Amino acid sequence: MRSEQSMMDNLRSLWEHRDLLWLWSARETSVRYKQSLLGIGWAVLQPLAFSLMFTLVFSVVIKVPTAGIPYPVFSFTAMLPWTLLATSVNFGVSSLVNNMNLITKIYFPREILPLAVVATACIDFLVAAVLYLVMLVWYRIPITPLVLWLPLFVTVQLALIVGVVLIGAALLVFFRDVRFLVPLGMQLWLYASPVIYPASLVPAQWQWLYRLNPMVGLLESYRAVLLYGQSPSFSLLLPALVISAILFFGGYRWFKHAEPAFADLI
Amino acid sequence: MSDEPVIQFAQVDKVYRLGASPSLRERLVQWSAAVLPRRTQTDHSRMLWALRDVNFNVNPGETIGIIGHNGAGKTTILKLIAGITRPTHGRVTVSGRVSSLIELGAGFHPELTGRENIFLNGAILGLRRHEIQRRFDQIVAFADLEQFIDTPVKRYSSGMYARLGFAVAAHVSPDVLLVDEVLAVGDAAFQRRCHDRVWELVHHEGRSVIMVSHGFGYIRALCNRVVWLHHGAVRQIGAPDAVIRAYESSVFGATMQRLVPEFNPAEGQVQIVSVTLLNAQGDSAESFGPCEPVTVRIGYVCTPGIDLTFAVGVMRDDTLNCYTSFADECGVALPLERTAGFIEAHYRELRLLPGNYQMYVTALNSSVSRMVYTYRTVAFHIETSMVLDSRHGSFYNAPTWTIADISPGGEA
Repeated sequence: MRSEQSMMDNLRSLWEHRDLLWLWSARETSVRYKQSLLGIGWAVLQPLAFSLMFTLVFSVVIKVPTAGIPYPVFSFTAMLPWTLLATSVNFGVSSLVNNMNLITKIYFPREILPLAVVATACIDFLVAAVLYLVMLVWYRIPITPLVLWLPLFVTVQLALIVGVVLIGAALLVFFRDVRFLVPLGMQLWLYASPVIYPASLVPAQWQWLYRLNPMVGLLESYRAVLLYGQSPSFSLLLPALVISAILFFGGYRWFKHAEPAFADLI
Repeated sequence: MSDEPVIQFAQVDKVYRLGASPSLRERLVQWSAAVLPRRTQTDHSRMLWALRDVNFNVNPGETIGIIGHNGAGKTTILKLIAGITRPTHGRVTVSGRVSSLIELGAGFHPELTGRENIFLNGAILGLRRHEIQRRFDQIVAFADLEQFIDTPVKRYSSGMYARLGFAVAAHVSPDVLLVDEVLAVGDAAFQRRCHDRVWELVHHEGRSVIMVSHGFGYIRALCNRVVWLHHGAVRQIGAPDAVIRAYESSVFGATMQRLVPEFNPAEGQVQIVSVTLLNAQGDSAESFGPCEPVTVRIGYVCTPGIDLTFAVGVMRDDTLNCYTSFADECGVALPLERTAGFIEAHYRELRLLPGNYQMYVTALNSSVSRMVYTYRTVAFHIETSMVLDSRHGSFYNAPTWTIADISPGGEA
C-alpha cells in the first residue's frame, strides 16, 4: 500500500535497495574525484590544511591551552570527525535537488541519495584516518585499549550526520533558501564545537547550553580516548547520544513523511 | 497468484500547484496565518487538477491502455502507480513490484557505460546484484547492444537508449510494467520485439501492463481494456475498439479545425448531403484491401454564385493526415451556376496499411481565402489476410520484385 507506510516498511524497502546504495556511493566517489586533479588526495589535504592554518593562529599567535598535547595533533583529532560532518552536510543537503530528473521519473527510497553522500564522506574519513595514525606515531602519542570506544563514537556521529543531512536535504526541496543557510550554519557550528579549542575553555555557567551541541560531547570524547588516555566523560557523551538519536529517528521519520511531496515540488 | 486486483484507484484526485513552490517567506506567512482561527482560503486559480475522481482496478494479467489528449493526466496515473507521487485525495493501492519506463533513459547515468547502467537501473528497480547478473546476457541480447555495452550511454542514440531502457524494465520480473510513449523511438524490428515481450509478460507470466500511447495500433493489439481520460477525469473505460472509436470521433472535430485554418462553417451556403465510398465493383463499402481502388462520391447542395471546391483526404486513427487532395488544385473547377449534384474523387490505390481511417470531405471556397463551408467524415478500415504491420512502415507501397540473372559480362 502506498498511502501509509510504517517505519518497518521503509527499512525493508531500503534494505531491498541496498545494492543501489552501494552502486550510487561508488558512483558519487568516482565522480567526485575523477574530475579533480588531486583526486582522493583532497580527503587528506583539506583537514590537514585547516589544521595547519589553525596551528599557526592558535599555537603561535594566540596560545590555546591543550594540556600538553602538540596543537597540530590536538586540532587534527577533532578536525577529522568535523570534516566528516561538514563534507556530508555540504554535499548531502543538495543531493535530492541535484538529482531531480531521477526523483520525478522513477521511484526508489529517496534517502539513498543523501545516504550515498554520507558513505562517500566516510571513505574520505578513512583515508584521512591513515594519515592521522602516522601523525600519532610521529608525535609519540601511545595508542591505548581505550580506542575500543571509537566505534561507538563513530556510530553516534553517523546517526547525527544522517539525521541532519536527511532533514537538510528535504528542507532544501521545500525552501531553496536553505542552500544559503548551510554554509553559514556550518561556520557557526564549527565555532560552537571544540575543534580549534578545548571544551574546558567555555565558562562553567554556559556548559549546559554548550553541551546541547552533540559535537561537543563527541569531539571531547575522541580527544579523551586518543590523546589523554582517559575514558569519555558521561556528562559530555550522554547529551550527545540522546540528541543524535532524536535527530536520527526524528529526521528519518520526517524525511519519509515528506518524501511523497518531493516529486511534485522539485 | 490471487485474483485480487494488483492496482486499485479509489476516488483519486491529484492537484498540482501551479507556478513556483512557495518561498520560505510565503510559508512563514502561511504558518502564522494557520495559528489564527482556521480559514480555508485555497487559491483555486493556481491549482491544476491533474486527476479528478478516478476509479478503476487492474487485475493480474491485464493490459490496460490509457488514451487522452496531451495533459489529460495519463502520465500522472503512471507516476501514481510507480509511487513517484501520491494522490491529493483518495487512494492508490499497488501490490507487487512496479517497473516503470516513464521517460527515456530515466535512471541512466550518461557518464556510465551500458553495462554499469544496467546494474544501476536494475538496482533502482530493487534488484540484487546477482539477480541482475543472471539476467544480464538476456537484457543485452534483447537490447541488441552487445557491441556498445562498454560505451558510455551519453554516446548512445535515442533508439539505443530506448532499447536499453525497455530491456531492463521488461526483464526485472515486475508484477506491473508501466510503459509511457517511449517505445515509439525504436525501429520497427525493436518495436516488434517489445510487442512480443509485453505479450509474453502478460500471457505467459501473468503480469499486468499499463501503457500510454498515441499509436492506437499498439493499444489495439495488446490491451484488453482502454481508459480514456479527458481533462483528468475518466470519460470511458471498456473494450479497446469501442473506446478508441469514441475518442477518435470526439477528437476529429478539433483536428479539422487545426488542419484547415479559418474554419468558419457558413451554414446554409453549402451542405454536403452524402459521402459514399465505392469499391471496384461500384458498391458502397467501408472495408477495403491495402491497394484497392476507391471512389469517394460526394453529394452536395449550395447557393448559386459561390466559388466552391472540395478537398478529400484520408486520416489515420492517430490523426495522421495521410494525404489530402483539393479538386481545384487538380484542375477541376465546379461551374458557378451549379447548385446541386455529385463530385467524385477516384483513388486508383489506397496504399494504406491495415487499421482504421477516416475519409474526410471538406467544402471550401476556391479563392485565396480558402474559407471552409462545411465538412463531413466517413470511417473506413483496411483489412487484409497478408501480414502487414509496423515493420512495413506507415503506408503500403509494394514494388514489383524481379530476380535478375547475371548477364554475361556483367558484374559478378
